[in-house]
Order: sequence, then structure tokens, then C-alpha cells
Amino acid sequence: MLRKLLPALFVLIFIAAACGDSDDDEASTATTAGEGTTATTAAAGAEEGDGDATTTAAGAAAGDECPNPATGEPIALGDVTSYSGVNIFPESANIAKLVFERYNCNGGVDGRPIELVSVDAQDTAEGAAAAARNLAEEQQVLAFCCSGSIVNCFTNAGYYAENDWEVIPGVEACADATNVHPANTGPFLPTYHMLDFFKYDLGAENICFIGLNVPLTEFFQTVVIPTWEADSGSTVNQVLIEVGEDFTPAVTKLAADGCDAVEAAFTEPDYQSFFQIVDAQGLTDQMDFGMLTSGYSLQLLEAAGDTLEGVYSNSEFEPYTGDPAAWSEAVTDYIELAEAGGEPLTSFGQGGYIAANVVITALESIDGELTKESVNEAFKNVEYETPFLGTPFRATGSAVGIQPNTTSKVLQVVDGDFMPITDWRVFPLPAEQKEAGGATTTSAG
Amino acid sequence: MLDLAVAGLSAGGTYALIGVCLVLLYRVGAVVNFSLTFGPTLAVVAMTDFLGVWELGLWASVALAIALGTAIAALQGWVMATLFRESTVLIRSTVSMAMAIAMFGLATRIFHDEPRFYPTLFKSLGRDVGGVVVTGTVIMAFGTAIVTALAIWLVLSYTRIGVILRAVSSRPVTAELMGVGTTVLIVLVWAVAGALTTSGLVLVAPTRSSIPNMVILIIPGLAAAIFGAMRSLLMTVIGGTVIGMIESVALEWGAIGNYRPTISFVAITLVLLWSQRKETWSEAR
Repeated sequence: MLRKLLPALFVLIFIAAACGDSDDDEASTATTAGEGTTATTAAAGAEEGDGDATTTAAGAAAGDECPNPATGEPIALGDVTSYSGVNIFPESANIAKLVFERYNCNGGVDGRPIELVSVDAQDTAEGAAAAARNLAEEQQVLAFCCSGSIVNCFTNAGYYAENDWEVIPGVEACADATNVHPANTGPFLPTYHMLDFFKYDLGAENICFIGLNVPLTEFFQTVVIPTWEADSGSTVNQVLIEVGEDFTPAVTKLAADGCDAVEAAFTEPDYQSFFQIVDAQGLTDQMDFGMLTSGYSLQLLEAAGDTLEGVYSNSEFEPYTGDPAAWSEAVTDYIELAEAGGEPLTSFGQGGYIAANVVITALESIDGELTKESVNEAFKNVEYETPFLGTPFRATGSAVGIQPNTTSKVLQVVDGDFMPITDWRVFPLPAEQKEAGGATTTSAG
Repeated sequence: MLDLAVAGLSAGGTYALIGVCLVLLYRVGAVVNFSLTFGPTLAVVAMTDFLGVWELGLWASVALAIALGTAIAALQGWVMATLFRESTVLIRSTVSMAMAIAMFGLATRIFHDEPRFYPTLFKSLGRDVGGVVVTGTVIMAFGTAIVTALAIWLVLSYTRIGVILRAVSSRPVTAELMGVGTTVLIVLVWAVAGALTTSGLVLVAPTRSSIPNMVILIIPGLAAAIFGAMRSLLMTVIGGTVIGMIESVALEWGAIGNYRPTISFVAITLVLLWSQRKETWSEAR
């Protein structure tokens, strides 16, 4: 009998080993919706330690200096981030938690700490739907914020609108959701900006686009690129590859098609593979390559090494690389906070930093009781000015649409660093800038 | 067209190597090992820590990764040889799926799927063919696939150990009663397949760069093995190469090209149907 049961027992143990929690796992800070329990909160740090009156980003993040801990009833906010799956974006919520932790150590909102409750969207529509409902109905959060996901908005925009939730994510990929007000620009407008950059700043004639054959890409194909083609009078040669496919044939096709400039829409690991092959095929010097802000990552730069040299990248926020003398206080604060908290420096982390500060501004603007209605009303109308963005963040939208943030900058990898080479690019690019050769202000090369 | 066909060799060589290892395990271990690329992926990702964190040096890190991949595969082989000795191919293959899921979970939990530095080996071997650079890693992957297929064919066909291995595969209990150490042999075969697959993944890791992109190679590898009817090593190598080239050339096929991952499987299904038809006709006669 035991011999018959052993194989089944073995299989169960093996699967349990893979599915169990891991203490040092970033994803372990979140839960799946099915488990329905609370995740890591930012409030915890506020109750630890005491210290002198000066709270540094590092100190607060580490929890060893907490001069004025907020000990009141936590203000629970929901986070629907993809902590697991193919496209994961944990940096946004992780940085937001550091911002809230420091804020809670300085008194919070009238003595009440902000608690960010995370449920893993698992990078799937069903995961995102379950996570949002779990947070709203089981965890009873007051509002949603600070998440990083490309499935949350697409999946839950209708749910948020029907139930009067106003959401302020750090990183989203949703262009037309009335109740979702992300800190980030993209990925659609940055693609437009990069195509502008190639045409007007670099003078490229044969511009190509390469992306994965995934549902998100369909929006690039059917809306973003056709819109840019109509506005610019140029055409874009599109190459799509399958998930997990070798990039060599696609890179060969880009070369065979005679592309002058190529805009690539991937996440970090795919950028790494793509540019390894571009480099192996000797194409780096033959055409210009651009990345979306997902490629603006020091981790990617370190992993990809020289293969990124000369490549352009979009940045949806004020860059955190280049000459430190040019950094604003906000950029310096973001870098110190991330480094103290052991988080990598990424553009998506910046999104979480901005979203958290927008949320704090909104919560501080509320007179009276903090309820779902009052918090979401504050989220709906919040305005926040920061050097991180080309224009002030307005949840009600910008001059050209409902997206709060429509600006970005272009960087170039020079001598192993991302160097800013343009001023803020706006949508649409003004005619005078088109005639004047785009918005390039400096030459890194 | 020629340039895309040559570009397809990059993936084809890897498919062929994985296919050959799958055929080896099926013929000798009587299992379709769905987890073949999962343990080696874990080992290859660990290699980046050997190199970057432990600072062991390039070749020591590569050797340690191959050793780790071999050890994981050997452990899997031991589990199969002891707990599933008398199980059917179906049950063993199902267990390998469970192992695949478990190792994928472990790999992503231990290492996270974040950018890592994978060294590019044999850069100087690259050659320009038809306007496309066939890199050193592609040449090595192909070379390994062909040499491995040849070596396995020679061992299984012309050596005493080959006869014993075939006996272990078809009649494990009988072989054991004849005094053959079946557990050791099965563990050995799994270890060899693990070592070869890890070597192949070390070569292609710089251009795969993520855990999902590496483990997913099991699918075209399986397709290559099926092309060889899970028996013919030569046809498996040819199948892997052809599948890689079809996927590449299909980039020029417009809307149909968007379905290129399925084109290979359609072709394989047709091959299987054709071979089945031949057997039925033969038996009927």
C-alpha cells in the first residue's frame, strides 16, 4: 500500500515545494486573490523604532528611524500588481510602500498610517479581476493606487467605473479608462514620441517597429501606429514575433527590410535577448534602435553590457541617470529611497514614487472623515506638481485627453550610462518643433 | 528568403539538441520527459550567480552549471528508477510534467525573472553565411546535436552497453533479474541528457535571457523528437533544423506567418498521420 502511495506523495511534495511561500521572495509580499489575506503593508514600519527629529529616506525605509510614528487606524489602499507571471512590475508598489513607510514615520494623515494592501494580479485577466474584487469586497480598501500591471486596467476599468473607484496606479497600459489615472505615460504615447524622435530629430525615413504578438500589441498596431502614420505622413514597417521565439529571424528581417530606425516594445529580458542578437549580427552601427521606458533600467544596462551602447530609450519621467548635478531634489530623493530600501532603480519604480506622492497629496486635501466616497472624490480631482513630469499631474486629464501624464524624454546609452538627450516631448509634437528638428536639446554622442 | 532560412538555424540547432536528448530518454528510459529543459534552466540561471556573485570565473561557472544541471537530472532519474520503476510511459511522463511545474516554480521563486548577465561563448567562431552571421553558439549547438546523435546511435547499435540499455528500457524487471543494475543505468542516462541540455542552454542563454524563454524550448524540442517518431535520431536532427527554418521563413508569409508556431505542429501531425496510415495498410495486407 505504502509503495503505491509513494509516487503520488512524491508528486504532491514536489508541487507543494514550487507553490509554497518563500521568505525572501518579493512576490511573497503579496497574496493571490484566492487566499484572500492581507499582504505587506507600509504601516508596519511606522510602529517600529524611535529616533531623532531628522528622518532620512534611508532611515525611514530601513525602519530604524521613526520620529513620529502614525499609530491611528490604518488607511487601507488596494494594490493590484502583477507580482508573478510573464510581465511582472513589482517595482512600482514596492517603492510606493517605501514612500508610505517614511510618511507614516512622520505622522501619517493626522496620525493615521497609510497601508498598501497588495494582491497579486498574476499577469492574467482572471487574476487581476479576482484581485480587484478581493480588495474591494473582502479587504474593504478605501481606494486603489500605486500598482504596476499591464492587465489591471484592461481587465478592471469597467468594474472601477461601475463602482465609482478612482484609481491612481504607478504603471499601467490603458489609454481610455475614465477612472484610472496612472502616473506613467505609456506605453502608447511614448511609442508615438519615439517615432517622432526618429523622424524629426534623427531624420530617419524607413522606420520599423518590433513587438511581441500579445494582446497589448494589438493596440499599437491598430491605434498608435496608424495614428502616427496619419499625423506624420510616414509609414511604419511592423514586425511581430511570438513569445519565446528566437529573435534572430526577426532581426534578420529588420536588416533585410532596410530599416533606418527600429522602435522595440518589449520588457527587460526580451530587450536583453534582442540586443544580444542585434549586436551579434553587427547591426548596432547600421541602424538606430529605441526602447520604451521598460528598457530604462540599470539592471538591464548591467546585464546587457555593451550591446546597449548607442541605443535610445524613452523615459516617461525625469531621468535618474546622467549628470547628478542636473537631478532635481525629487530625483535625488527617489534614488536615496530606492537604494535604502534595496530596490533597483527603474522607471517603473519612479511611477510608484510619483503615484504614492499623488495619493498623499489627495489624502491631505480631504476635510472631514476619510470614507470611500471622500477618498475617491479626492483622487478624482487631485493635482500634483513635480519635476518628475513634463506637465503637472492632473487626475482630470491633460489638455489632449484623459491621461494625466502625456510627456516623456529621450535618452541614449553612452559610455555605459543612460544620458538624457532631449527636453520634454509633448503630444502632439508642435509643428514648429517638427520643422526645427524635434526636441533634441543636447547631444550625448 | 535565404537569409531568413539561415537565420532559422539559430533556433533549429537548439531544437535538434533538445529533441535528441528527448529521444534518448524515451528510447532508454521509456519516458517523454516534459521537464527536460526545466532543471537545466535552473542551473543556467544559477550560473549567473556563480559568475557575478561568487566570482568563480567564466569556465568554472559554466562547468558548475553543467554539473548542477546533471545532478538535478540524475536526481530525477533516481526518482523515476526507484518510485516509478514499474509504471507505464504515460505515468512516468505525467510525473515529468509535475517535475517541470515544480522546477519552474522553484526557478522563478529563487532567482526571480529579472535581467541577468549571461556570457556569450565561442564568439570568435561566428561566420557570415548569406548575409547572416551564424554565431559561434549556433555552430556549437548544431555540432553538439549532431555529435550526440551519432554517439547515441553508435552506442545503442554497436556496443554491449547499448544492448543492456535497450533491455532496461523494454524489460526493466527482466533485466534486473539478469543482474543488470537498472537504477544506475537509468540515472546515468538521465544525467547525460541533463548535462547535454544544460550545455545547450548555456550556449543559447544570452539570446533567451529569461526563465520562460528557456523552459519553453521543450515544445519545439518535442516537435523535433516527434518528427523523428521518438526513435530516429537523424530525423530528429533534421526535424529540429527544419522547424527552426520554417518558423524563420514564415516571417515573410504575411497573415499566415502570425500562426508560425503552429505551422510546425501541423506539419508534424501530417507526418504522424502519414506514418500511421502506412502501418495500418501494411497490417491490413
